[in-house]
Amino acid sequence: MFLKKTLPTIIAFVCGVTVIIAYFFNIPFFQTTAQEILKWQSVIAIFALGLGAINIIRVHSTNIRRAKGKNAYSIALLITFIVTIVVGVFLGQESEAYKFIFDYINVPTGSAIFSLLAFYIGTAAYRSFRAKNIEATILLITGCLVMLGRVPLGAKILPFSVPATDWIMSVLNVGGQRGLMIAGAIGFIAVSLRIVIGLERTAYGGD
Amino acid sequence: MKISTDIGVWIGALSALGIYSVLIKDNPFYTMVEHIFVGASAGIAVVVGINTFLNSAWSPMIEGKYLLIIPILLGILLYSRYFEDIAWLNRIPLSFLMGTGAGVAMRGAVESQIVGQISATMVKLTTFDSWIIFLGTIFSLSYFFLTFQRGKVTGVTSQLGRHFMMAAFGAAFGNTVMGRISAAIGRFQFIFLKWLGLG
Repeated sequence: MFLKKTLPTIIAFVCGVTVIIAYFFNIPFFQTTAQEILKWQSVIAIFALGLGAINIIRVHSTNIRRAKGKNAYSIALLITFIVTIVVGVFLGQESEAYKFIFDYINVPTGSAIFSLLAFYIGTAAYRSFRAKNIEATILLITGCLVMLGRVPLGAKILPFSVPATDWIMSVLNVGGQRGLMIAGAIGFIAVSLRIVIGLERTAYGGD
Repeated sequence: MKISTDIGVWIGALSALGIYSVLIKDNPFYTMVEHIFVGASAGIAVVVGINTFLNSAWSPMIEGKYLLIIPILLGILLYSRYFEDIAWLNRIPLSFLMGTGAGVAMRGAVESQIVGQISATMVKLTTFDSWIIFLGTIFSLSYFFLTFQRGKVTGVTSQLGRHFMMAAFGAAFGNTVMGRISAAIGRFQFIFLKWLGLG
């Protein structure tokens, strides 16, 4: 019972409180300990990355087994995954092979996936942006103005969209975002505090 | 038109075309490129993780910082989840990660999101814009007063706060769309200029 429930709560409390005290008070003991805790945290987090790697292998090897070796997608994923690791670990991150994978597979595909949202978000906006009430109208107008003001063509179509975009971004947006950020931070602090004092044990697998 | 003879450019261009092909319909070409991307990205993350581990934990430990064996052992405990009898052991490193993460997040939130934002708002209100920012912050904050019933004044301020937040959402939306479009333009430039050699 102690090891399963109380010890994790104590560990979370000690780590959280130490890190917080070290930040707000100039006490050398807490600062040194907090530095060490943060270093340890980054080491443990690396092991957590391994969990993800194991899950990928488990999921896709199960897919291959179920499809009796005919699941080309999972086979391709596992091959790319293993080849990247082998190249990165044995040839090094500075090797030509690793750079090739990074520059010609990871970056262009990632960038294409990232830009794919431009099409989806554009069509979704076209279908859902309706000036049904004041709030929706504000959203529609600011969204359209910012989109127009950010491209040279927009400036040709609607010349005032450029200064309007600048004003929206540096004034209206700041006002709304600040309230959101402060309110969000207060909520975030409340959740963090619940984790640190052990009220939110589900975060680390407790009840 | 001078098509590239670089194998890397071909792979990059075909990957991008594979991804964009989903705009027509979900198809095997897209799924294949997507899986290859996931494999490469996960592999890169693992390589970075291994190198970070070697540089920040393993090498210093070999050189005499023996205390680093503790986080390494805690990290290994994370894998206990795969063994039913000792699965509970992974709560120990998880509690370490969550406690420390919560502490770090808390101090970051206090500094940048509360103190930083409030001090940026508390400036001399000499211009129209500074008044708009100040009132926008106050109004949108008043929208989040959820612990008491809204009266006439707080009702109006929270309504105005919603308007400010909608303006902010609209601006964020417009910015996101333009960011994504500029990424798409970059890809099209790569396809048309670097791969196909047009222009």
